Amino acid sequence: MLSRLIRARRMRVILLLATALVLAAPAAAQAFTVYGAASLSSAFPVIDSSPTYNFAGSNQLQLQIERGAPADLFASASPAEPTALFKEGRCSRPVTFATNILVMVTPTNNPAGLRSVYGLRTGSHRLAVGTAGVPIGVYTRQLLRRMQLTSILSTNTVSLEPNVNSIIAKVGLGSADAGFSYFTDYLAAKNRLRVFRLPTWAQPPVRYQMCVVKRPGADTAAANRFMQRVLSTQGRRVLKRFGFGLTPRR
Amino acid sequence: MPEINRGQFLRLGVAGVVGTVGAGLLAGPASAALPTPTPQGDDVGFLSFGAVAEQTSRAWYRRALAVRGFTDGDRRRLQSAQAAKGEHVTRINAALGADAIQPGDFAARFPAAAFATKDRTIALGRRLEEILVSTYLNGASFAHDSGTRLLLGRLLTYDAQQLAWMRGLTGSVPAGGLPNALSLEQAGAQLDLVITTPNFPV
Repeated sequence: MLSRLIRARRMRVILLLATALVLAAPAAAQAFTVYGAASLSSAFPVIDSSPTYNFAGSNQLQLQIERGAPADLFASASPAEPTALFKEGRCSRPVTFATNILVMVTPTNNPAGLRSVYGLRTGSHRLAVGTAGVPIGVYTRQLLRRMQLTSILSTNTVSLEPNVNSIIAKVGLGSADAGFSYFTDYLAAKNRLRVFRLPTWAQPPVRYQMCVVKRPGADTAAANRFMQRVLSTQGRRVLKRFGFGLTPRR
Repeated sequence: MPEINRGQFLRLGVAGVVGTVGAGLLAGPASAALPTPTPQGDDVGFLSFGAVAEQTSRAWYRRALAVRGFTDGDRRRLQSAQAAKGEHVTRINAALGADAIQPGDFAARFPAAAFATKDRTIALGRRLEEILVSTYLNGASFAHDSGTRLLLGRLLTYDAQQLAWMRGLTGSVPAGGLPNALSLEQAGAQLDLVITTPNFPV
Protein backbone atom coordinates (compact mmCIF):
# COMPACT_ATOMS: atom_id res chain seq x y z
CA MET A 1 0.00 0.00 0.00
CA LEU A 2 2.74 2.40 1.10
CA SER A 3 4.93 1.47 -1.86
CA ARG A 4 1.98 2.10 -4.21
CA LEU A 5 1.54 5.56 -2.68
CA ILE A 6 5.23 6.31 -3.10
CA ARG A 7 5.14 5.09 -6.69
CA ALA A 8 2.10 7.29 -7.43
CA ARG A 9 3.82 10.32 -5.90
CA ARG A 10 6.95 9.59 -7.96
CA MET A 11 4.83 9.37 -11.09
CA ARG A 12 3.24 12.76 -10.29
CA VAL A 13 6.68 14.35 -9.82
CA ILE A 14 7.91 12.83 -13.08
CA LEU A 15 4.79 14.08 -14.87
CA LEU A 16 5.25 17.57 -13.44
CA LEU A 17 8.92 17.63 -14.51
CA ALA A 18 8.01 16.38 -17.98
CA THR A 19 5.28 19.03 -18.32
CA ALA A 20 7.74 21.73 -17.21
CA LEU A 21 10.28 20.54 -19.76
CA VAL A 22 7.69 20.46 -22.55
CA LEU A 23 6.57 24.00 -21.69
CA ALA A 24 10.12 25.27 -21.42
CA ALA A 25 11.31 23.72 -24.66
CA PRO A 26 9.64 26.14 -27.16
CA ALA A 27 10.97 29.17 -25.29
CA ALA A 28 14.51 27.87 -25.40
CA ALA A 29 14.26 26.94 -29.06
CA GLN A 30 12.73 30.27 -30.05
CA ALA A 31 15.13 32.60 -31.91
CA PHE A 32 15.89 35.86 -30.24
CA THR A 33 14.27 38.96 -31.68
CA VAL A 34 15.91 42.01 -33.23
CA TYR A 35 13.87 45.18 -33.63
CA GLY A 36 15.59 47.14 -36.38
CA ALA A 37 15.13 50.36 -38.30
CA ALA A 38 13.52 49.75 -41.72
CA SER A 39 16.70 50.95 -43.43
CA LEU A 40 18.59 47.99 -41.95
CA SER A 41 16.26 45.39 -43.46
CA SER A 42 18.68 44.43 -46.26
CA ALA A 43 21.97 44.40 -44.36
CA PHE A 44 21.08 42.81 -41.00
CA PRO A 45 19.82 39.44 -42.31
CA VAL A 46 23.10 39.10 -44.25
CA ILE A 47 25.12 39.73 -41.09
CA ASP A 48 23.06 37.16 -39.15
CA SER A 49 20.12 35.19 -40.50
CA SER A 50 19.21 33.46 -37.23
CA PRO A 51 17.22 36.13 -35.33
CA THR A 52 13.56 36.88 -35.79
CA TYR A 53 13.53 40.38 -37.26
CA ASN A 54 10.96 43.12 -36.90
CA PHE A 55 11.79 46.06 -39.16
CA ALA A 56 9.83 49.31 -38.94
CA GLY A 57 10.21 52.99 -38.18
CA SER A 58 12.53 53.41 -35.19
CA ASN A 59 10.00 55.53 -33.32
CA GLN A 60 7.34 52.81 -33.70
CA LEU A 61 9.77 50.18 -32.45
CA GLN A 62 10.66 52.31 -29.45
CA LEU A 63 6.99 52.61 -28.59
CA GLN A 64 6.50 48.86 -28.91
CA ILE A 65 9.46 48.18 -26.61
CA GLU A 66 8.10 50.65 -24.06
CA ARG A 67 4.84 48.70 -24.13
CA GLY A 68 6.66 45.45 -23.39
CA ALA A 69 7.17 43.96 -26.85
CA PRO A 70 9.44 40.87 -26.83
CA ALA A 71 12.51 42.56 -28.34
CA ASP A 72 16.00 41.43 -27.34
CA LEU A 73 18.00 43.96 -29.33
CA PHE A 74 17.01 47.35 -30.70
CA ALA A 75 18.84 49.00 -33.63
CA SER A 76 17.69 52.51 -34.50
CA ALA A 77 18.40 54.93 -37.36
CA SER A 78 18.87 57.74 -34.86
CA PRO A 79 20.33 58.05 -31.35
CA ALA A 80 17.11 59.64 -30.04
CA GLU A 81 15.12 56.41 -29.59
CA PRO A 82 17.76 54.16 -27.95
CA THR A 83 18.87 57.07 -25.77
CA ALA A 84 15.30 57.52 -24.53
CA LEU A 85 15.02 53.78 -23.77
CA PHE A 86 18.39 53.85 -22.00
CA LYS A 87 17.26 56.75 -19.82
CA GLU A 88 14.09 54.82 -18.99
CA GLY A 89 16.21 51.82 -17.94
CA ARG A 90 14.79 49.71 -20.77
CA CYS A 91 18.02 49.07 -22.62
CA SER A 92 21.80 49.11 -22.26
CA ARG A 93 23.96 52.13 -23.15
CA PRO A 94 23.54 52.59 -26.95
CA VAL A 95 26.46 51.90 -29.27
CA THR A 96 26.94 53.70 -32.60
CA PHE A 97 27.64 51.25 -35.42
CA ALA A 98 26.94 52.97 -38.75
CA THR A 99 26.26 56.26 -40.50
CA ASN A 100 24.31 57.31 -43.55
CA ILE A 101 23.46 60.33 -45.69
CA LEU A 102 20.24 61.64 -47.16
CA VAL A 103 19.48 61.68 -50.88
CA MET A 104 16.56 62.68 -53.05
CA VAL A 105 15.15 59.89 -55.22
CA THR A 106 12.81 59.97 -58.19
CA PRO A 107 11.42 57.18 -60.37
CA THR A 108 13.95 56.11 -63.03
CA ASN A 109 12.11 57.99 -65.78
CA ASN A 110 11.87 61.12 -63.56
CA PRO A 111 8.41 62.13 -64.85
CA ALA A 112 8.57 65.54 -63.14
CA GLY A 113 11.85 66.37 -64.89
CA LEU A 114 13.58 67.36 -61.68
CA ARG A 115 17.23 68.34 -61.95
CA SER A 116 17.93 68.94 -58.27
CA VAL A 117 16.15 69.35 -54.96
CA TYR A 118 15.79 73.06 -55.76
CA GLY A 119 13.43 72.07 -58.59
CA LEU A 120 10.84 71.29 -55.92
CA ARG A 121 10.50 75.02 -55.19
CA THR A 122 8.17 75.37 -58.18
CA GLY A 123 5.57 73.33 -56.28
CA SER A 124 2.78 71.04 -57.52
CA HIS A 125 4.91 67.89 -57.34
CA ARG A 126 4.06 64.72 -55.42
CA LEU A 127 6.51 64.16 -52.59
CA ALA A 128 7.01 61.16 -50.30
CA VAL A 129 8.44 62.23 -46.95
CA GLY A 130 8.82 60.48 -43.58
CA THR A 131 6.43 61.49 -40.81
CA ALA A 132 7.71 64.03 -38.31
CA GLY A 133 8.36 61.30 -35.69
CA VAL A 134 10.34 58.74 -37.69
CA PRO A 135 14.11 59.40 -38.02
CA ILE A 136 14.03 59.78 -41.84
CA GLY A 137 11.32 62.41 -41.39
CA VAL A 138 13.24 64.22 -38.65
CA TYR A 139 16.44 64.24 -40.72
CA THR A 140 14.59 65.39 -43.86
CA ARG A 141 13.04 68.36 -42.04
CA GLN A 142 16.40 69.26 -40.52
CA LEU A 143 18.03 69.22 -43.96
CA LEU A 144 15.24 71.29 -45.52
CA ARG A 145 15.46 73.86 -42.69
CA ARG A 146 19.18 74.23 -43.30
CA MET A 147 18.66 74.61 -47.06
CA GLN A 148 15.80 77.10 -46.56
CA LEU A 149 13.49 74.71 -48.38
CA THR A 150 10.90 74.03 -45.68
CA SER A 151 8.29 75.67 -47.92
CA ILE A 152 8.39 72.73 -50.35
CA LEU A 153 6.47 70.73 -47.76
CA SER A 154 3.51 73.06 -48.22
CA THR A 155 3.75 73.93 -51.92
CA ASN A 156 3.88 70.28 -53.05
CA THR A 157 1.48 67.41 -52.41
CA VAL A 158 3.16 65.53 -49.59
CA SER A 159 2.41 61.97 -48.54
CA LEU A 160 3.71 61.22 -45.06
CA GLU A 161 5.23 57.76 -44.77
CA PRO A 162 5.81 55.75 -41.59
CA ASN A 163 9.28 54.54 -42.63
CA VAL A 164 11.86 54.75 -45.37
CA ASN A 165 10.74 51.51 -47.07
CA SER A 166 7.34 53.10 -47.73
CA ILE A 167 9.02 56.14 -49.26
CA ILE A 168 11.11 53.96 -51.57
CA ALA A 169 8.06 51.87 -52.52
CA LYS A 170 5.98 54.95 -53.30
CA VAL A 171 8.65 56.59 -55.46
CA GLY A 172 9.64 53.31 -57.12
CA LEU A 173 6.05 52.66 -58.14
CA GLY A 174 5.73 56.17 -59.55
CA SER A 175 3.13 57.22 -56.97
CA ALA A 176 5.42 60.09 -56.01
CA ASP A 177 7.59 62.33 -58.19
CA ALA A 178 10.32 62.46 -55.56
CA GLY A 179 11.13 61.39 -52.04
CA PHE A 180 13.82 61.74 -49.41
CA SER A 181 15.55 58.58 -48.26
CA TYR A 182 18.88 57.28 -47.03
CA PHE A 183 21.58 56.58 -49.59
CA THR A 184 21.57 52.89 -48.63
CA ASP A 185 17.86 52.53 -49.43
CA TYR A 186 18.45 54.03 -52.84
CA LEU A 187 21.22 51.43 -53.41
CA ALA A 188 18.90 48.57 -52.47
CA ALA A 189 16.35 49.68 -55.08
CA LYS A 190 18.50 51.48 -57.61
CA ASN A 191 17.05 49.64 -60.59
CA ARG A 192 13.77 51.47 -59.95
CA LEU A 193 15.18 54.83 -58.82
CA ARG A 194 17.26 57.78 -59.87
CA VAL A 195 19.32 59.50 -57.20
CA PHE A 196 20.13 63.17 -56.59
CA ARG A 197 22.83 64.07 -54.11
CA LEU A 198 21.99 66.67 -51.48
CA PRO A 199 24.52 69.28 -50.31
CA THR A 200 27.14 67.99 -47.90
CA TRP A 201 27.05 71.17 -45.83
CA ALA A 202 23.33 70.70 -45.12
CA GLN A 203 23.47 66.97 -44.28
CA PRO A 204 22.25 66.15 -40.78
CA PRO A 205 24.43 63.65 -38.90
CA VAL A 206 22.72 60.27 -39.44
CA ARG A 207 23.93 57.87 -36.74
CA TYR A 208 22.71 54.30 -36.20
CA GLN A 209 22.75 53.04 -32.64
CA MET A 210 21.85 49.73 -31.03
CA CYS A 211 21.25 48.54 -27.49
CA VAL A 212 20.37 45.34 -25.64
CA VAL A 213 16.78 45.46 -24.39
CA LYS A 214 16.23 44.99 -20.67
CA ARG A 215 13.01 43.13 -19.87
CA PRO A 216 12.05 40.00 -17.97
CA GLY A 217 12.89 36.95 -20.06
CA ALA A 218 15.07 38.83 -22.58
CA ASP A 219 17.78 36.77 -24.25
CA THR A 220 20.57 39.15 -23.26
CA ALA A 221 23.37 36.74 -24.13
CA ALA A 222 22.12 36.26 -27.70
CA ALA A 223 21.56 40.00 -28.08
CA ASN A 224 25.13 40.70 -26.95
CA ARG A 225 26.45 38.11 -29.41
CA PHE A 226 24.48 39.76 -32.19
CA MET A 227 25.84 43.16 -31.24
CA GLN A 228 29.41 41.82 -31.37
CA ARG A 229 28.70 40.28 -34.77
CA VAL A 230 27.52 43.64 -36.14
CA LEU A 231 30.61 45.38 -34.73
CA SER A 232 32.99 42.68 -35.98
CA THR A 233 35.15 43.05 -39.09
CA GLN A 234 32.75 40.79 -40.96
CA GLY A 235 29.71 42.78 -39.82
CA ARG A 236 31.34 46.07 -40.78
CA ARG A 237 32.25 44.65 -44.16
CA VAL A 238 28.61 43.78 -44.81
CA LEU A 239 27.42 47.22 -43.70
CA LYS A 240 29.96 48.84 -45.99
CA ARG A 241 28.85 46.62 -48.88
CA PHE A 242 25.31 47.88 -48.41
CA GLY A 243 26.55 51.48 -48.57
CA PHE A 244 26.62 52.43 -44.89
CA GLY A 245 29.31 54.63 -43.43
CA LEU A 246 31.30 53.24 -40.51
CA THR A 247 32.40 54.98 -37.35
CA PRO A 248 36.01 54.43 -36.23
CA ARG A 249 36.53 51.25 -34.22
CA ARG A 250 36.25 51.72 -30.46
CA MET B 1 53.85 95.21 -45.23
CA PRO B 2 51.01 92.74 -45.56
CA GLU B 3 49.19 94.40 -42.65
CA ILE B 4 46.32 96.40 -44.05
CA ASN B 5 46.03 99.96 -42.82
CA ARG B 6 42.93 101.66 -41.59
CA GLY B 7 42.38 103.62 -44.77
CA GLN B 8 42.51 100.51 -46.91
CA PHE B 9 40.10 98.73 -44.66
CA LEU B 10 37.67 101.61 -44.75
CA ARG B 11 37.68 101.58 -48.52
CA LEU B 12 37.07 97.87 -48.73
CA GLY B 13 34.90 96.54 -46.02
CA VAL B 14 33.25 99.38 -44.24
CA ALA B 15 30.94 100.08 -47.17
CA GLY B 16 29.13 96.86 -46.47
CA VAL B 17 29.02 97.41 -42.76
CA VAL B 18 27.75 100.94 -43.21
CA GLY B 19 25.06 99.56 -45.46
CA THR B 20 24.19 97.14 -42.75
CA VAL B 21 23.94 99.94 -40.24
CA GLY B 22 21.95 101.99 -42.71
CA ALA B 23 19.48 99.20 -43.10
CA GLY B 24 18.72 99.53 -39.45
CA LEU B 25 20.40 96.33 -38.40
CA LEU B 26 22.24 97.98 -35.56
CA ALA B 27 19.29 99.78 -34.11
CA GLY B 28 20.84 100.83 -30.83
CA PRO B 29 24.17 102.11 -29.63
CA ALA B 30 27.03 99.65 -29.99
CA SER B 31 27.33 99.31 -26.24
CA ALA B 32 23.67 98.33 -25.77
CA ALA B 33 22.90 94.77 -24.73
CA LEU B 34 22.73 92.50 -27.77
CA PRO B 35 19.35 90.93 -28.40
CA THR B 36 19.49 87.17 -28.18
CA PRO B 37 19.13 85.65 -31.64
CA THR B 38 15.95 83.64 -31.96
CA PRO B 39 16.10 82.45 -35.56
CA GLN B 40 12.79 82.17 -37.36
CA GLY B 41 11.98 80.29 -40.56
CA ASP B 42 14.81 80.50 -43.07
CA ASP B 43 17.14 82.22 -40.57
CA VAL B 44 18.30 78.74 -39.54
CA GLY B 45 19.72 78.28 -43.05
CA PHE B 46 21.99 81.33 -42.83
CA LEU B 47 23.22 80.30 -39.39
CA SER B 48 23.74 76.62 -40.24
CA PHE B 49 25.67 77.53 -43.34
CA GLY B 50 27.69 80.07 -41.35
CA ALA B 51 28.60 77.45 -38.74
CA VAL B 52 29.83 74.97 -41.37
CA ALA B 53 31.71 77.62 -43.35
CA GLU B 54 33.28 79.14 -40.21
CA GLN B 55 34.48 75.71 -39.06
CA THR B 56 35.93 75.10 -42.53
CA SER B 57 37.59 78.51 -42.47
CA ARG B 58 38.99 77.74 -39.01
CA ALA B 59 40.51 74.54 -40.41
CA TRP B 60 42.11 76.64 -43.16
CA TYR B 61 43.68 79.02 -40.59
CA ARG B 62 45.06 76.02 -38.68
CA ARG B 63 46.63 74.60 -41.85
CA ALA B 64 47.87 78.00 -43.02
CA LEU B 65 49.91 78.40 -39.82
CA ALA B 66 52.13 75.54 -40.96
CA VAL B 67 52.85 77.13 -44.36
CA ARG B 68 56.19 78.89 -44.89
CA GLY B 69 56.47 82.48 -46.02
CA PHE B 70 54.20 84.28 -43.60
CA THR B 71 55.76 86.99 -41.45
CA ASP B 72 55.51 86.93 -37.66
CA GLY B 73 52.82 89.59 -37.91
CA ASP B 74 50.87 87.46 -40.38
CA ARG B 75 51.13 84.47 -38.07
CA ARG B 76 49.81 86.45 -35.13
CA ARG B 77 46.86 87.48 -37.25
CA LEU B 78 46.30 83.91 -38.46
CA GLN B 79 46.32 82.69 -34.87
CA SER B 80 43.98 85.37 -33.67
CA ALA B 81 41.60 84.73 -36.57
CA GLN B 82 41.64 81.00 -35.87
CA ALA B 83 40.51 81.72 -32.31
CA ALA B 84 37.90 84.21 -33.53
CA LYS B 85 36.48 81.60 -35.92
CA GLY B 86 36.03 79.23 -33.01
CA GLU B 87 34.13 81.95 -31.16
CA HIS B 88 31.95 82.56 -34.20
CA VAL B 89 30.98 78.89 -34.30
CA THR B 90 30.15 78.97 -30.59
CA ARG B 91 27.95 82.03 -31.01
CA ILE B 92 26.17 80.64 -34.05
CA ASN B 93 25.60 77.27 -32.39
CA ALA B 94 24.18 78.99 -29.30
CA ALA B 95 21.66 80.66 -31.60
CA LEU B 96 20.90 77.39 -33.39
CA GLY B 97 20.21 75.45 -30.17
CA ALA B 98 19.08 71.94 -31.07
CA ASP B 99 20.07 72.53 -34.71
CA ALA B 100 23.70 73.30 -33.75
CA ILE B 101 26.41 71.98 -36.08
CA GLN B 102 28.79 69.62 -34.30
CA PRO B 103 32.50 69.37 -35.24
CA GLY B 104 32.10 65.72 -36.31
CA ASP B 105 29.17 66.41 -38.65
CA PHE B 106 31.49 67.11 -41.57
CA ALA B 107 35.21 67.45 -42.29
CA ALA B 108 37.28 69.91 -44.32
CA ARG B 109 38.82 68.30 -47.41
CA PHE B 110 41.17 70.77 -48.99
CA PRO B 111 42.96 70.00 -52.27
CA ALA B 112 46.42 68.56 -51.59
CA ALA B 113 48.16 71.35 -53.51
CA ALA B 114 46.21 74.13 -51.82
CA PHE B 115 48.90 74.62 -49.16
CA ALA B 116 51.92 74.04 -51.39
CA THR B 117 52.85 77.74 -51.47
CA LYS B 118 51.92 80.86 -49.58
CA ASP B 119 50.08 82.28 -52.59
CA ARG B 120 48.00 79.17 -53.10
CA THR B 121 47.24 79.07 -49.40
CA ILE B 122 46.03 82.64 -49.43
CA ALA B 123 43.96 82.04 -52.57
CA LEU B 124 42.00 79.31 -50.82
CA GLY B 125 41.60 81.31 -47.59
CA ARG B 126 40.40 84.28 -49.57
CA ARG B 127 37.85 82.12 -51.39
CA LEU B 128 36.51 80.85 -48.08
CA GLU B 129 36.21 84.37 -46.66
CA GLU B 130 34.45 85.48 -49.85
CA ILE B 131 31.91 82.67 -49.46
CA LEU B 132 31.29 83.72 -45.86
CA VAL B 133 31.00 87.43 -46.61
CA SER B 134 28.70 86.79 -49.58
CA THR B 135 26.39 84.66 -47.48
CA TYR B 136 26.38 86.99 -44.47
CA LEU B 137 25.53 89.92 -46.75
CA ASN B 138 22.46 87.99 -47.84
CA GLY B 139 21.58 86.93 -44.29
CA ALA B 140 22.09 90.38 -42.77
CA SER B 141 19.62 91.72 -45.30
CA PHE B 142 16.97 89.02 -45.27
CA ALA B 143 16.96 87.25 -41.89
CA HIS B 144 13.59 87.64 -40.17
CA ASP B 145 14.77 87.91 -36.58
CA SER B 146 16.52 91.16 -35.59
CA GLY B 147 18.88 89.38 -33.17
CA THR B 148 19.93 87.02 -35.96
CA ARG B 149 20.43 89.94 -38.34
CA LEU B 150 22.65 91.67 -35.80
CA LEU B 151 24.71 88.52 -35.24
CA LEU B 152 25.13 88.02 -38.99
CA GLY B 153 26.05 91.70 -39.39
CA ARG B 154 28.80 91.42 -36.81
CA LEU B 155 30.16 88.24 -38.34
CA LEU B 156 30.10 90.02 -41.70
CA THR B 157 32.14 92.87 -40.27
CA TYR B 158 34.84 90.57 -38.96
CA ASP B 159 35.05 88.43 -42.07
CA ALA B 160 35.10 91.48 -44.36
CA GLN B 161 38.17 92.67 -42.44
CA GLN B 162 39.83 89.29 -42.88
CA LEU B 163 39.01 89.35 -46.58
CA ALA B 164 40.55 92.80 -46.92
CA TRP B 165 43.66 91.61 -45.10
CA MET B 166 44.03 88.60 -47.41
CA ARG B 167 43.59 90.78 -50.48
CA GLY B 168 46.33 92.99 -49.09
CA LEU B 169 48.60 89.97 -48.64
CA THR B 170 48.36 89.13 -52.34
CA GLY B 171 48.86 92.74 -53.36
CA SER B 172 45.33 93.17 -54.66
CA VAL B 173 43.80 96.58 -54.53
CA PRO B 174 41.81 96.55 -51.32
CA ALA B 175 39.28 98.99 -52.72
CA GLY B 176 37.74 96.14 -54.74
CA GLY B 177 34.73 96.26 -52.44
CA LEU B 178 32.63 93.47 -51.05
CA PRO B 179 31.73 90.42 -53.11
CA ASN B 180 28.18 90.02 -54.33
CA ALA B 181 25.62 88.48 -52.01
CA LEU B 182 25.14 84.77 -52.67
CA SER B 183 22.13 82.54 -52.08
CA LEU B 184 22.69 79.43 -49.99
CA GLU B 185 22.32 77.36 -53.14
CA GLN B 186 25.21 79.19 -54.81
CA ALA B 187 27.39 79.45 -51.73
CA GLY B 188 26.68 75.83 -50.76
CA ALA B 189 27.83 74.55 -54.15
CA GLN B 190 31.18 76.30 -53.59
CA LEU B 191 31.60 75.20 -49.99
CA ASP B 192 30.81 71.58 -50.89
CA LEU B 193 34.01 71.47 -52.93
CA VAL B 194 36.10 71.59 -49.75
CA ILE B 195 34.06 69.56 -47.25
CA THR B 196 33.05 65.95 -46.89
CA THR B 197 30.84 63.74 -44.72
CA PRO B 198 33.17 61.91 -42.30
CA ASN B 199 33.18 58.12 -42.28
CA PHE B 200 31.04 57.89 -45.37
CA PRO B 201 32.25 55.92 -48.41
CA VAL B 202 30.84 58.11 -51.23
